[in-house]
Amino acid sequence: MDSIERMGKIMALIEAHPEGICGRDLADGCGVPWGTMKQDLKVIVSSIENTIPLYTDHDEENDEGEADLYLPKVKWFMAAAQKSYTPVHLNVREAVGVLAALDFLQEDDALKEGIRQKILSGFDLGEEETYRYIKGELTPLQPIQGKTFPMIENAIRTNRRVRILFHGREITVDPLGIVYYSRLRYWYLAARQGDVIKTYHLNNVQEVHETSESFAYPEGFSLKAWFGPRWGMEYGDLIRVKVRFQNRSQTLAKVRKDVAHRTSYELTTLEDGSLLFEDGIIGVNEFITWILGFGSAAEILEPMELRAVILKRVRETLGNYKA
Amino acid sequence: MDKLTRQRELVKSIATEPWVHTPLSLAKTLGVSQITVQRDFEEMKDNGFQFKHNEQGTLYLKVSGWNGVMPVKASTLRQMEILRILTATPQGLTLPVLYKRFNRWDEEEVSNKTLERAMKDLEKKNLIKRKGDEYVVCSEHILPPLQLAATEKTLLFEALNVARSLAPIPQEMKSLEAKLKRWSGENDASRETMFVHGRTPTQVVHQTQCCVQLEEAARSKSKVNILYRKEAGPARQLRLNPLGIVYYWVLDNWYLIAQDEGDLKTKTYLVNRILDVTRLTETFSPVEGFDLKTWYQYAWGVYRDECPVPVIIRFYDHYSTLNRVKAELGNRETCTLTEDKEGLLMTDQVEGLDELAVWLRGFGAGAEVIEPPALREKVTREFTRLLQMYGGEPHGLN
Repeated sequence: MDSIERMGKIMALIEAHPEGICGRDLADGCGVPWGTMKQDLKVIVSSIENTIPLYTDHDEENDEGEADLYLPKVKWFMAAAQKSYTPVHLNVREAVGVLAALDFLQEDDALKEGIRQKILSGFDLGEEETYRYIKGELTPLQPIQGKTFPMIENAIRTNRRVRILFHGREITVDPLGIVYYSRLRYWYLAARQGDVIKTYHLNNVQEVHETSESFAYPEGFSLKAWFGPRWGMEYGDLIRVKVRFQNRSQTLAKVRKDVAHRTSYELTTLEDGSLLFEDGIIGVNEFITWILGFGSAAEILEPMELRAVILKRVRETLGNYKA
Repeated sequence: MDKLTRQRELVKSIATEPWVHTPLSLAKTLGVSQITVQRDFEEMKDNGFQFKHNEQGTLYLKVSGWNGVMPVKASTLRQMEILRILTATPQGLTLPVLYKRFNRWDEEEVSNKTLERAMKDLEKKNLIKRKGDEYVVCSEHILPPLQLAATEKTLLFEALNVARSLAPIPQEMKSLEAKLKRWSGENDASRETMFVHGRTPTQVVHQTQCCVQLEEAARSKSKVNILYRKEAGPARQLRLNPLGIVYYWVLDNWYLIAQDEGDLKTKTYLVNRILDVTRLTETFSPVEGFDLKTWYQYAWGVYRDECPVPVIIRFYDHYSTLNRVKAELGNRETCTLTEDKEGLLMTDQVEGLDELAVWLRGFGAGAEVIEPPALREKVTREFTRLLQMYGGEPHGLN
């Protein structure tokens, strides 16, 4: 893991622990000695270009200088109140129950209505009809085989190895978590097979059997840190990207909406009104597809290798139109 | 003037004349006490409205909220009621029994046809299924995940507690409570076991309310007044004949399609620019032959100029191009895809070449525009710009 990749992981670990995480655990989580972690934390805190809202449990108590901050037992937090959403998944029965329970509350405020809307929208009842039309694809949610979901959830929680029938092939995996991909409305199982962590489309999991073996949850593994940087569902190396978006018609609004769900990005408005996007991403092909959609309103500034890839794609495309 | 009307007036004054009114001046204009106005502001804040004021105390409407009782579409309520009844009856119910549940009195409230349509829709969404003559709810079917903020989770807990104190808590609620506890990390060092990846549609109560109201107005052919604001300037009041609403996934926006009462032209309005919708009692005569789906059949996105252009595009077997094209165009009725040795040939009639160009650019060399020349030109112009931007030389393309 190089230091840039580690930075991403550090931030994800801190963000994944709203109750705080101490320096020692961060070092363990990243598999580096405390000395290295100390340097990394110093770099993050002193970084001027990206002001990351980090603070520690020692910040308020003393201002005797920085030295005490960089001790292995000091806990680190991230001040990102708006981003602390918890994904909650309900089945039909539970959702019906929750809606009924909400009616017991006397208050009628935006908060309660907001939850009601969120839950109702999960049922997807806003059917397309004469006066309502959906442009662009929203595929219907595919049902997942009977007990697959609760069984996998239970196995994850109890560190129980499972045997699954996937695409007709039987494999034994250590289940680590469940991922929902909103664009395709698919559920995936994130699991370790041998030493490799992969995702398995839940619709292709025909059977699940719990085994009697248990497994040790990988030390420091964070679903968010592992999956968050991905662009689409592609695999690949983590790269740091810097992209400038010009303030043209809908561009900036679209950028903001498209990246809002990401876990570690940063957006800075520049003096000329353009927007600088910085993030660690995995999945070059899907990322380039997204960038090219913006045409000349988007320019990849870094890394240079990615600029070269775009240039190659641009040349190939223009090749189609010669003569 | 009742409370809702007064609050509407407040919003209208502040939105159409930003940075002019103070709570005091508004109280005077409306002929009510300042305390009343203050109370109105408090209540509106609870309903999601956000105001800003400057040093002189004059007001600006930052974000619009919702007012009155949150309307939920009648069809949604009906379907939720069906799900509720079926959840309470795990062995299932037949259609005639359900019909009786909905029509306990002499007068028919929900017709057989409406009920059948609702059941068919629920079945299509995998929420219920048939077992012989009986319908049963797919109670274990997992819905897309909700993204709950900490305050929302707390409120759900509270709701469950209140529900429990009023009646014995059913089994399904116990599992729910356990889930919530786990998610909020009450038990132990909780581990994240779930992750939501990718963009999810924006959910704002105000916007949902506007959509429901506009859709209902379109259905009942009622004229509406809307407060419409672009950027930070003053809002304008528009009187429109609403024809329907459209959601466009690419930009994650809702749009209102409506006829301008003045020139009777059909125009598109962005719903998130609408600050308020007032449904009027006056109705409008239906627009001859207007159908939302037909209106948009040639449009690539939401742009319409009413003159579709014939388009021919060749797609090459380049990365995942062919699969993506097939998946993304599967539902476009005006489009024909022909497979041949070189890949796929798409023929279509399209309005909104700019929106089409955006989509095409993503494919890079995987797509080549054959027709029309205007679109070829658009694509080459933009890619030539990109070539210069990334430091390549335009190879004698001009």
